[in-house]
Amino acid sequence: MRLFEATHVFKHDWETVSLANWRKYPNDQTPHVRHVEILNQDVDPATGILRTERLIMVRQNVPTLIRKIFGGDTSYVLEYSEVDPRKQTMTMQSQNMTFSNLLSVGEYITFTPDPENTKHTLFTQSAQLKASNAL
Amino acid sequence: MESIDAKCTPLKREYDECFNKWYSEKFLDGKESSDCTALFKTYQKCLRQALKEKGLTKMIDDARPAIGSVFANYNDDNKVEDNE
Repeated sequence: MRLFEATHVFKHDWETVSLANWRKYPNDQTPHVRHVEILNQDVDPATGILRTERLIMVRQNVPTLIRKIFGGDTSYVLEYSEVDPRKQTMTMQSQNMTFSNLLSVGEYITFTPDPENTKHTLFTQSAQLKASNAL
Repeated sequence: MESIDAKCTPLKREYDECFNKWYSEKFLDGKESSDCTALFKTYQKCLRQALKEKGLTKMIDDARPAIGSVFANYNDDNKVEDNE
């Protein structure tokens, strides 16, 4: 198991960054992301938290040999997120559903106001990679 | 962006537009009840049919625990629809 972590500060306020997240796809930098569907979305009346489940479909051009080894060029990721507008936190957790017998990637992302400058947004990302013995 | 099933694309776009507007103008200002429920239902009806046809529902159900999702599984379909 490998763990990767990264942080970044966006020089925009949290509300702007959280909205940008919803408007992220499609964009020129990620042509491989083909479909993003909302599977479930609601606001928890008790906490005011927006909860969303999304299905992301990714397809890229890969050489035929690679496609044969992996069994395809299309992969699916499931993502669950929570946005708390009162506390100004957004958390996202995602996991690949396809090829997970070979490689499992779980990613956890948070967006919060930067404690050093609340007009900016702190982004943290951590990913856990698990490769199976098959690789 | 197209939906995984072209039939659902206009419904998805309508919902996305409504959602982005509600999110930026109302939700972030503390008005938590959604304006977009009817559009969402229509989009979801189409999408769920597409997911069933493509055989994706089990794969999605199996992945929910790994990401901490609070939503009900598709094989509890009837329960979810009754709650609406």
